[in-house]
Amino acid sequence: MHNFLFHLRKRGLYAKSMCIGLLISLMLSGIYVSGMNQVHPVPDEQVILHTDRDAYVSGEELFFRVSLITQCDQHSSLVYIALRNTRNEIISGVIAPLNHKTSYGSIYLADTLSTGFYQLIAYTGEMRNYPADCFYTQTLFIANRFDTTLENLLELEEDPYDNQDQGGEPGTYATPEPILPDHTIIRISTDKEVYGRREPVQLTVGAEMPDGSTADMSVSVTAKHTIWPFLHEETDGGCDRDADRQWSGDDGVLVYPREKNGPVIAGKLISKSDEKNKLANVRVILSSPDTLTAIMYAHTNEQGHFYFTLDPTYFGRDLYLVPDHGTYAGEAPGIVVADPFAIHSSFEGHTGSISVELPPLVRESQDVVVVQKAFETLHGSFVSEKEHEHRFPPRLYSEPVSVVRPARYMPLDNFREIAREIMPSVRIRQQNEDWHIRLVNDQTAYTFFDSAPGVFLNSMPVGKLDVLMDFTSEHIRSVEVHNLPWRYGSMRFDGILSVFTHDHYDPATFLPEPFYALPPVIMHGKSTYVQPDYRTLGSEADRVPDFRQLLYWNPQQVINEEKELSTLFYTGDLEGTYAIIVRGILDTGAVFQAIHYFEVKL
Amino acid sequence: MLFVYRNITQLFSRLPCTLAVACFLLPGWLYSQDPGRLNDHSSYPVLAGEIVFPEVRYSGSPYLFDRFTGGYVVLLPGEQVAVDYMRYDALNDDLMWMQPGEEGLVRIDKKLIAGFGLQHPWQDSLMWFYRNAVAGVGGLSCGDCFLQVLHEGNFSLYARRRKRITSRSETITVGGQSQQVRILDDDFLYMLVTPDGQTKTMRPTRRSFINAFPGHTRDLRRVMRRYNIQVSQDKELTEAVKWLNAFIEKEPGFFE
Repeated sequence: MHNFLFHLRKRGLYAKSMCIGLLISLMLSGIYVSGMNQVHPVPDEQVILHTDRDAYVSGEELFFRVSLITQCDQHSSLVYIALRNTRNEIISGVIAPLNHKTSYGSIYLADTLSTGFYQLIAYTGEMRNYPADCFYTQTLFIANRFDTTLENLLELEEDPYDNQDQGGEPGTYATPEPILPDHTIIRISTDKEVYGRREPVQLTVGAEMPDGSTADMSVSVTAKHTIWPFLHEETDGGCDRDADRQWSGDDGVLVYPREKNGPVIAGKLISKSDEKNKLANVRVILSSPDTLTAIMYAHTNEQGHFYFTLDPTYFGRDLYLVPDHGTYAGEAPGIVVADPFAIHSSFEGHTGSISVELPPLVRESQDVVVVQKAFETLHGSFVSEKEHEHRFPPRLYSEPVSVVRPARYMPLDNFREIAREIMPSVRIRQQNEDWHIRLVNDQTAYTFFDSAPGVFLNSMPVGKLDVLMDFTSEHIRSVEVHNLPWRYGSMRFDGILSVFTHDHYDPATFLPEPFYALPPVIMHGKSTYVQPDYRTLGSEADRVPDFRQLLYWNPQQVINEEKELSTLFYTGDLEGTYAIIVRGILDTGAVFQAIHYFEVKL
Repeated sequence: MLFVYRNITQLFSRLPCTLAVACFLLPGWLYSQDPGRLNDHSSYPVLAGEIVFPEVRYSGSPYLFDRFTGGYVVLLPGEQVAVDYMRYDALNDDLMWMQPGEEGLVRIDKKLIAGFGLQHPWQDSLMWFYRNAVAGVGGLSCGDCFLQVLHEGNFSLYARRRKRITSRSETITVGGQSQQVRILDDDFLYMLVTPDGQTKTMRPTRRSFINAFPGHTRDLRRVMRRYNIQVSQDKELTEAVKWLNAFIEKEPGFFE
């Protein structure tokens, strides 16, 4: 070492090396410190959504395909899709689980939707840290099936003479333009150009692209007038890099994590008297009505924020959050939970004019859907059955020390009597209107625990014991007595008393205050479009009208130079021009769109 | 005094160097600080179990290793939970978890876990134990045992690391009181699972290994001698099973 330093000194390099080293060191420190306070200017994840059409009638289904574009291996496992109206009300919210960065499904457009423009918004949980202009948006038109006036649409009709003045052609609307990245050609072909009623269409989609590239795409075959290209022009160009970020680190704003292992419930505890008081290290318990004693918990961080990565056990169930009163002092905090479908931007609908051609075509679509609704249909969405997954609720214990089933004994009038007569290890006392429960420590078999056990009713913590005390033998299915000193992560129980009832009881009547009731988190099931196959359908199918405007929908198709899509579908009973629209993403992340038309004549 | 003075002067003479080293180390230290580090309460692994205060009832340790080591506990959904301090109670076939600052040990509710990986105290390796790793093993006295996975392949090798209470006893002093207690001894059982699902118990000796293949003992002894396969301890037994898998792949007709 000394020799090395000597040589450096001799060559006059000592000071120079030291300076360079120090510079690099300070740069690295600087990068770290700046990284602490700043966030990436744009999200690492980008979402792209394709739908089967642009214009719908209420009562129909909207089919979608959603793709995640990211270079990260540890990417989000789900995408939020929201449909909102021009009053910025969320009409439908969907959580689509991703499989290989894609998902697909359908949204039923309720009969009650009013005629107008709607916006479909897609984003990941982590993207919620960024302004809403980073979300993927697409404008759609939905006509109410029974709205014969179509006032909302007619008021946007263009004046044909204005258009003529500008050199445009009156009464027409543009057709979608193909979008193709460099060196990429998407070939769409059909075996004929004109088809008859219920005739098979042989569709082939191939590609010419750089070696080794693949295209992941959706294919939609729909009536041409249901594609409104001018709505796609309104899709904004992505993130505004200069906009203020919502995610700013230490300012108390909730930071949404990347949802790698499932949906995350994010929230914060706030002090009601002093909003600046950050409630750190408070335990928040998440529970749901269940027949097993199972809970999840999380601790608030220094900002008072808490996060739960939801176990599949809790999907589709009512959820309740309760701060553990043993982990905070003073007044009970307020609970705020972030709504994953709260979107902080406004949607005003389509503001430009529309072609005079469109309203009659919309009316035609309304009539078609009315007829389809009146008859049995040979098509629709099919929700594939979810793969059977083993669910392991986060149980507090595998087996209780003892289980008491009051139905096996003489009927008893209240819980105190039940405890006294048939649960010898449970002692209940009343002092000054307050109830006190203690369990015998099974390790000693004769001494009571010093403090109260964890008391649960249908797997939810009990804060008001009065409710429990009114239960008779008829109400209670079983009581699990787990009278051991017990640890569940950071929670310590001097025994656990878990009561299960025959009937459901409103948790609001017994949960400790304060609590927060969350709506069920429902994961969207993948649904596919089922079309009639006239090769297999019998002659009875001839009596069922086939007024499909969507002839074919394939949300997940991968092609490359060697592998092409070759499929067959049938035309229906509606004549007109149909568009085959292929939309997708290359593995380079570039998006593409290709269109082909054919005619159906009866 | 002279010594202190000399040290201080030496430090000042090397001050630029010391400062430089400190600056070089600064980024490393900064990066090692996780900004989202967990606070005290949330650092508890979410494991459930009974809080116990073990008593000395035997001579010898009931634990596989007397020292607490780190490792992972595999929950039933397959999720791995990192644990800093745990040890395997080989006498009672229980996994014990200790959380510093908390009274007692936690006997983990074994029905809520699938297994665990225990850091070997003297080797840089994890010993993986799974509940019921081998189904229907004759000769096992417990129906729900943790078995160590030594090797898994066409032929798989598992070990039951138990302690047994011997008939021998000795006098020990606990809390100033002398008492006569039984002596604990290792009781390890090795199980070889063949490709057709049969389980054969054995000891880590060459003879026991060869006898697990009746009808092929002479050929196997000859081949093992040719390849210089020794079996006199459990590490060598594991190596022998690995060798056997490789050998069978090369000569698939050997056991036919």
